[in-house]
Amino acid sequence: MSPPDDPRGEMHWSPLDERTADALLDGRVAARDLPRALHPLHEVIRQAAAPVGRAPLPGEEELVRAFAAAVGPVPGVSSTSTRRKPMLTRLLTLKAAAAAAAVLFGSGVAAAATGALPGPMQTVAAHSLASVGWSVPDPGHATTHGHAVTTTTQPSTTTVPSTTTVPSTTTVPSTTTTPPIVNSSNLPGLCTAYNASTSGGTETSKPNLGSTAFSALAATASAKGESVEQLCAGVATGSNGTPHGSSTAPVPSTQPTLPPEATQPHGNSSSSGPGHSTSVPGSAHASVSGAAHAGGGAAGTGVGGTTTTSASASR
Amino acid sequence: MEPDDTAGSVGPDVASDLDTALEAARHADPWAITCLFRAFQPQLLRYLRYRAPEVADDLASETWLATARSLVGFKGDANDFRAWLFAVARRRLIDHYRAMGRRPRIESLEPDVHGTAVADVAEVVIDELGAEEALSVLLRGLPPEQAEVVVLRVVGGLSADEVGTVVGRSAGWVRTTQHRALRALEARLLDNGATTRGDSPEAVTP
Repeated sequence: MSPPDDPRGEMHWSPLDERTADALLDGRVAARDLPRALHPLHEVIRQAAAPVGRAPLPGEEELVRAFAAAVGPVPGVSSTSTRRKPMLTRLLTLKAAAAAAAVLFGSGVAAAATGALPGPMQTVAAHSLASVGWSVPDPGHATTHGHAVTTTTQPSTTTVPSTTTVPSTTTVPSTTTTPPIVNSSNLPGLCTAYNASTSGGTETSKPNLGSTAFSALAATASAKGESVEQLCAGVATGSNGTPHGSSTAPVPSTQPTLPPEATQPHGNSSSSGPGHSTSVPGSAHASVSGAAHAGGGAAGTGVGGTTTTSASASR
Repeated sequence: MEPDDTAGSVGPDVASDLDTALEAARHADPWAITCLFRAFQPQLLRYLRYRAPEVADDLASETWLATARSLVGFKGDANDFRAWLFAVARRRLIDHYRAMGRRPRIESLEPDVHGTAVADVAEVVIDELGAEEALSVLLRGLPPEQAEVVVLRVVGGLSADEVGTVVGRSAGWVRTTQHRALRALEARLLDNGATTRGDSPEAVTP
């Protein structure tokens, strides 16, 4: 009777063919559908299978914790906050790098030139630009610029990780709600930028008076009862001097200047990203020229430059 | 033949719940992991206890953690996960016995099933067997390969194809092996007059 003696079950006839055996082990067959001779077998299998309960098991909590900790990261998926966090950090770091580049090589140069970037950024900008022969204010050496920034901007409640040449938790001064009046010493720079924008001729390069920098210009003109054109007409612009002695100083052709709309406050960002950047001819260059006259401290451009950073980073 | 949900494998609703739980478990959701654990741990433990009762709990924990670490690369539904779980457990079992320098004690499984020495099947009423006793009755006298296939099919709730994957054999080999095992058991039950309550009174052993 032992199985090895009768591996094929040939000693007696049995209704138990291979298919029935498979069904029995699957639990796919009810006793009533089986010959009586197979009922004991069916019953033993049924009981051995013993339907599993859903009750808590010993060691359950510890194992669940250990399992959760051991589950590896899921690439490209972020369904929980714990997983979203590192992804977000990484994403923001990338944006920060892009924004920092834009600040240093884009229209943010204007803000840097006027010393209006937040302290740490200004320091970085000053050192970076110094390395290519441009002199811009460094808050480490000219405290009045830092003071100008703090008095003309208000701390943002929004963390803008983009600024980050400094740590991502640093808050960046955000735009003031009312455009500041432009310091007269900064008018030449702004006007040069404005004129350069208008002379660009294309639709996309039109100056955006809604932008913070130009709205400051508009506010200044309005305060004087003039149009921006009239205001600027009475201001000697950058053609009469540059900090580096040449008005034709080359601006890097690859300069990723931002479109005028990108200078809008970041709460009102337009849809164009850095990839769509429209050049503002001469704006950076002109602002640098303006800085030569002004020596920095322009609230309007400073805010605008900062906002540029924010806008590009928020995408 | 009608499906008989009382035996073994989970129903479709539960299976779909477990599929959902598996997806959530990939993201370390504690609730989902708990669902999987409660569904499969009892089966896993019973399988391991039959092979290595003294270290079954440790091996089960190691098995869960090993699957957790590799879950990112795992593709499949809850049934596939269960088969994978048993495959991992089986490898752990083999490693364990290798480390101990001996072969798995499959041959002497009866006394190891919770230490329950089950009397001859003819001496008990089949209906009143506990799960462990029933398993002991089922496996007694089976060659190791047949016993392992039956355990994985009945206790693990794996299909013949899944068992083939776990033990590294074809589904055809599994079906042949399980058929031989059940034929042997059927013959033994008949020879010993074992019966169920529904059978004629004279056949029931008191």
